[in-house]
Amino acid sequence: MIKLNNDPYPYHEGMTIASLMEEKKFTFRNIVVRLNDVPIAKEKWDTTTIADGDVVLMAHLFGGG
Amino acid sequence: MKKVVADPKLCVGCGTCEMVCSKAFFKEEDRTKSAIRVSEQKNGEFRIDVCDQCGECTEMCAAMAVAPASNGIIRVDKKKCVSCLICVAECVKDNMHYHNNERYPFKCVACGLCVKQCPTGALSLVEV
Amino acid sequence: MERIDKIKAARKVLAEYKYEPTEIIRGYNNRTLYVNIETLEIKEKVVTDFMKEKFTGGKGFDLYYLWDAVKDDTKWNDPENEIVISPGPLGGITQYPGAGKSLVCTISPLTGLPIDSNVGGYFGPYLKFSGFDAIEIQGNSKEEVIVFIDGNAHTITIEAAPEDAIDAHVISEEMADLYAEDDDDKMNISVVSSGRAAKISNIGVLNFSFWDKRRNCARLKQAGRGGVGRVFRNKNIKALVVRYRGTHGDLNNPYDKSKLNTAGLRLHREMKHNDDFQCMMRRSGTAHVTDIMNDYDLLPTMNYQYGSHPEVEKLSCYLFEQLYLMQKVPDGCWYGCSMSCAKAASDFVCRTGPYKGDKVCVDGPEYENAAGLGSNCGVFDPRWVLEANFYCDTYGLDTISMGTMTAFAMECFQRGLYNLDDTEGLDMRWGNGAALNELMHQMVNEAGFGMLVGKGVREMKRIFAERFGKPAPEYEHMLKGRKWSTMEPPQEKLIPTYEFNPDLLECPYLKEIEYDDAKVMEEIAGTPLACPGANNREAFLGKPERWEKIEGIPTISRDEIADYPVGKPYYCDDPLCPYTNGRPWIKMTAEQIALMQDIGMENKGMEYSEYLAKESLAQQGGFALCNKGPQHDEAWLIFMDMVNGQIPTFEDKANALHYFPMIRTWFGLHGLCKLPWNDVEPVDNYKQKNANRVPEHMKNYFDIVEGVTGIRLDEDSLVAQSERVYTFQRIFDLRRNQPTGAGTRKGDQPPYRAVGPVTEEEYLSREDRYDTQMKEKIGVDPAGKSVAEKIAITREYRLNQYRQLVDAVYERRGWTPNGIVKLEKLIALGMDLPQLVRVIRPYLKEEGYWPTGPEYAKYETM
Repeated sequence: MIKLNNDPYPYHEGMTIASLMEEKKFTFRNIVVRLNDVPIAKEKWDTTTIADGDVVLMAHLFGGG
Repeated sequence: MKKVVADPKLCVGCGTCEMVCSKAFFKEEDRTKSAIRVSEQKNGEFRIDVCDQCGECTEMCAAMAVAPASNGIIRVDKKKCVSCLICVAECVKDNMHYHNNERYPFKCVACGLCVKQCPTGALSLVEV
Repeated sequence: MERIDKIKAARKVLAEYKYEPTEIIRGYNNRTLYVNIETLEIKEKVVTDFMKEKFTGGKGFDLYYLWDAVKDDTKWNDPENEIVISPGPLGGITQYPGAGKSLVCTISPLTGLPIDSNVGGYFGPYLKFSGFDAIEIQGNSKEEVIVFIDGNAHTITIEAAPEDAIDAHVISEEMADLYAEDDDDKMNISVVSSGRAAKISNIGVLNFSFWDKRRNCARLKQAGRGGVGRVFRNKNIKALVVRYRGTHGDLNNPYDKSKLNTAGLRLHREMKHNDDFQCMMRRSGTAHVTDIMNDYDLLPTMNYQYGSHPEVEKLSCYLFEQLYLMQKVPDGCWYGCSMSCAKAASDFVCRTGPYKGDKVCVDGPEYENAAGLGSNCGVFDPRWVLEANFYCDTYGLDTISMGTMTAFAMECFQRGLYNLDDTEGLDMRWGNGAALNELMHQMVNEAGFGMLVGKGVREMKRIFAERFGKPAPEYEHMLKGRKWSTMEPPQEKLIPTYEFNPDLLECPYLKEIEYDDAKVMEEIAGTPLACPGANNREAFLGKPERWEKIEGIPTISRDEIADYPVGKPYYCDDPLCPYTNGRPWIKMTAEQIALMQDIGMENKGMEYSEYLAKESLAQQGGFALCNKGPQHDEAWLIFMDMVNGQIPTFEDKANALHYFPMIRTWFGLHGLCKLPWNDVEPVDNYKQKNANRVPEHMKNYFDIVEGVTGIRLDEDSLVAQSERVYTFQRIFDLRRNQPTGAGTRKGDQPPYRAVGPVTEEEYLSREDRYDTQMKEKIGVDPAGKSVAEKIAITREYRLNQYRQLVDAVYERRGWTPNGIVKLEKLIALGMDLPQLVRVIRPYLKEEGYWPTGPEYAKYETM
């Protein structure tokens, strides 16, 4: 299991930031990612792998109305 | 339409063009008030930035103050300009300028004064 | 021009006032304008240091004046009720995006409370450049008037205006023609107007205009919420017009312009370079949100039952973009706004109403319009949505309330709470975009079911409950054999039906998504309703017979309704809503009334704005705890809470419900727009720990405040500015002593639809989610339980969560458990003003929160 946005989420082999985002259907364009509290730039989402037990924050910076 | 074209290889970085320009339009010699800018590169060569009259700055001007004159040169109409500086940000080539002591942004209007005064012939006024 | 000559000839100057020009000093004229259109008094007021220190400007000044203008029991339509408009100290700067906002306050006809609305357009800046930090309009005129401020000639006139138009898009252009010296001068004119429907509907808006030189038409921005337009039209004002020639960047006489230039340019560049891969505000405006909301199951669909819909593509921003929106044009609602989100659909051809066949320019679609008038009403046809958007604006109606009200009325219809007899044949099924527009035409014609819908959800609940019940068998004989036309509730599936507009199939976007119209039509075929299909004018022209009065049915007074039996027909007058279809009235059953309470999306009397709050506890609070009623402009926390999981505990949520409302209130104190704060971000914002607050943009705000006023704020002093006014408004609510209980805990209670699933359809539509929550969060095994049982368990849990949230928020804000501001809090804020202390004192004493000790003695006698 990993922790995604403060909730447990099942881990699987080969999980990257990009693949997880696709899995979760996070389609919003302005998302900030922190992996174990380290900010990850958008260009590195494809190549950044997630390990079992990692803490991932995918914060949608959604202003709202 | 005319525009100023620079050949940086001929430039010696004397800054005459900047002084001529600011003197002509702001009555003082201050390179931060010049519409043409010369800067020295790391390799010792000079870079000359001057408007190529592409017109991208005109699109987002709500007051329609930044617009081509009848001769095609893009000009800032001070009667209409509200000093929002959006045109400055719209110019990706950084050839629309502003100065905190001036009310309006300014740019090259291809008057040719700097071309005449350039001691090395690095500048020319070209018909396009 | 004949028309303009006619208007001019009929004009009569009733009062004229000449004033001395002044210079704005660091953002303030230090002078405001008072206009009484009844007594024709026009005068200037001095802005005191006290006002600036405690209330800052904008919404703060509005509320300050409004408090003094009204009595405790002043009604919205009393002459002393004021409309106050103020741009704020930063209002009118051209160097930073979103700095042209006007803040509008009045006592609302919907809520009985002070309402504040934040609106673009050029009026606020021009008012300020003309010499005034605010304008108060008081009195009810006996004849139709306009108020004209000439900021260059320094004159103010009140003029009788019998021939001027009322509908906003007409009068805004005619005023430009009338007052502008030439075409270029039209940009120097801004008009505040409402529209014809605002005369009878509680959801009237004010339209603030600006001249769009490229499209060569007047554009309209709306002070939307709370019915300011109804107050305006009740005062018999057709328009406020201001002309100011000579706008430039130094008019505020800023303390340090370089700070404005630097911050402004930084943001202009972010807009140019980041917007395309962030929020696309410049491309699509706020409508970009529609698709996102749908993806996250947050798009209010069919009166907030669901959060998404398969046909959402037809409301997609991509579709609007391709069909209607001009690109690469400056669409800012004030100069200097590079965000440029005030989109417009030009050359739109109306299909109904008085402007049928006209090519008009529609201001929108904004997200709220697409969601409210579209998905929430089940209308998945961009043309009907745009048409409703246009008519809302020009008739002076709030698109948000209109959407939410119609959605409520449609659901009640679909669930069989009333029928075609009650509407005189207007088919209120989901998706009937023509009916949606017809409701508004009826308001203008002051006839038909639209009269009733125009009252708003709160009034509709009362009126439906009194009138639209079914005859009980023992009373059927009283109807003398007349049949009750019925629609069997509930519909098999509460799905929308529609007739798809074939022109749309040519749209490249729909081709790209391989939209198959025939297939969708097949899926919805056979909707069991006697009427012809929706989106078809026949649907509401097939009028049932009107009822003749039946002898033998008693006529009772309003006071007798409460004790009158359910199911027994009666006649009664309703001066508040004269619409009647001739049918005798029947009271609804208690169950039906309870259902309406649950699904009627209003709080404090105002309709909810267009976000689904069910899965975000913090947002439930963001809506129902809002001072003015459920508008998301206090706090929008859905993603932080529900998606990001960033505020898991009650304490976290309470902190967010403290911080974010204060930031947003702050924009309203300064004349700023919220959007450039967090709808575009610096590329490296992701590195920030508290990225949600966009720290670099907060720094921009500190810079531009200093640049204009010379005062350097930090986060604490910024929050304090807001808290003073926010607290003032909370106590203003309490002072109004409304039946909704606003200002106390009772007033902060949401309808259950905003908290969780009310009906079986809703529960079943997200059964997995609710069942999982029951198991994991509530600790109850859903296996073997009926849907009704599961709804009840979920309801109890969620309402309890909401109670705990409110406890935490009140605690955080320094209020009592009943939501009363504590005296200690007032003192700490420096807001221990006698008029505020007097309001809270009896409540605090009764609840046992009045502090003792010699230091509080002076507050006993205030």
